[in-house]
Amino acid sequence: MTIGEIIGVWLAAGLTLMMFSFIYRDNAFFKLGEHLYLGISVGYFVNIQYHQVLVPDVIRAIRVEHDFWVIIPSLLGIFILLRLVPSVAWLSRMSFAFYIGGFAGVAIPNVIHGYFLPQLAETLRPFNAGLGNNLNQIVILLAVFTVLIFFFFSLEHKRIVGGISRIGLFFIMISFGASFGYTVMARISLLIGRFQFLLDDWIRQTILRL
Amino acid sequence: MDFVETILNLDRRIIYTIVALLVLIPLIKPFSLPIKPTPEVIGIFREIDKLEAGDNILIAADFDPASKPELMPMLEAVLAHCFERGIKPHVLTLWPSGPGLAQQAIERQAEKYDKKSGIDYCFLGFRYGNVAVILGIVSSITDTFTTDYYGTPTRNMQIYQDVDAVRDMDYILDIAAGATVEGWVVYAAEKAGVKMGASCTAVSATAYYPLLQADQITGLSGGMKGSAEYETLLSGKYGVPKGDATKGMDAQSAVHVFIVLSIILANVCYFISLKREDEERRRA
Repeated sequence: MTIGEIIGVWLAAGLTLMMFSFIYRDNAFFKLGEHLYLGISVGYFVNIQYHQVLVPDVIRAIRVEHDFWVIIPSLLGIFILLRLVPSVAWLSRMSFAFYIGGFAGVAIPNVIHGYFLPQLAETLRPFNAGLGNNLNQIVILLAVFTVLIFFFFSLEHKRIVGGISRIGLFFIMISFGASFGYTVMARISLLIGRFQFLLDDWIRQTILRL
Repeated sequence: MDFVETILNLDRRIIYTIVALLVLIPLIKPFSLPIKPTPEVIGIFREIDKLEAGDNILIAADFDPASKPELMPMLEAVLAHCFERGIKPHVLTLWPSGPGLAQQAIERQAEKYDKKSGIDYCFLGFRYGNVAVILGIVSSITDTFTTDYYGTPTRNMQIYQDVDAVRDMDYILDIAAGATVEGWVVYAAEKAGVKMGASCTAVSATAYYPLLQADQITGLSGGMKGSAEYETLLSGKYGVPKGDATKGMDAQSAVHVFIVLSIILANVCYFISLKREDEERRRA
């Protein structure tokens, strides 16, 4: 490990411990770490945007490739930033109109073709794929129907509609439960990742090797 | 204060300490619980394994340091798999904070397998625009990414002499911490007719099962567990050393057992306390 890497690991370990200190109680070290994270993230973001977007797509395109068409989208991008100047903030509406109109035009047919229709076809699959798959298909159909009823608010949820929507609620709860289980797994994974860093990179690679 | 009341009023810091110990102890002294690959992860592994040397795979590393423990091992394992088989990975990211991690993974694996940038692989880096970038590379990769991450023009690269669009790819894999999987399915895989797999954080795994059910993706790897399963498959077939995801699974299992027991215990204590309150009210 170089001196630079060792300093980096100590800094990262220190910041990790600062963030962990919140588990005990809110404190100045946690606040410092939190603000550093925010500031560094923004700085990194700006740097990446400049080197990976502005340089190759705008500066290089104009200077080296003499592609002056990029001036138009660049101007539309600058117009969005003009929202910060109240007297010319109206210019940003042109950019948003272009963006929303263009994106809606692209998204609507593609999402219908590539997402909505395949999912619909899968939901309405014929019952000819064996007993197990047919049972799955019944559960899927039942879940889709009852959850749609649950989110159908034009009818009062009483009697039959109320009963069906309660079954829908049951499916929604199962879905939330599965999501929560996965969320616990995800958060523990993050903790494991930090502990792996503290044990391997910090303690084993820097402290025990000194 | 009796046991029930103690449990219901337990200081959260005691729980944090137990969780910390349950993570720390298996990392120091692993007990190597078996990892059984699931059909979802096998679905990705099998498709990549079916590819031949010289085939191309598009890998979107759409994650940032916040998801590193879950998704970085997957990226490393898939890259190792590609290089082991002579498959050419084209790596890009739609996340501005993604290039640093992707760069680390690809440079580490390329060095290990002695692979050359622009010939055996290409790290395209980041472009802003999400769907616009996907639509761009559906038409032309070299027009959308005029240079790679290191500033080398892509048009002259050997790797782009025969391929230049998503339809020329043999597989797409999105390693995603956010909601980019739908975008890749809708605007790339379905449009270009290329098979696709998804590796995501555990939090978002349930959202992608409908895509798997509808065969819109061939496989799904969720969180650190999915990555560990991929490492197990890779190690089993090619002897590639297992990575950080596998090392973390003992701790994961230990904490899960503790959480399940805690939920049961807390609920039992809660219902006992309700019953007691009820009895006290009746007595009063």
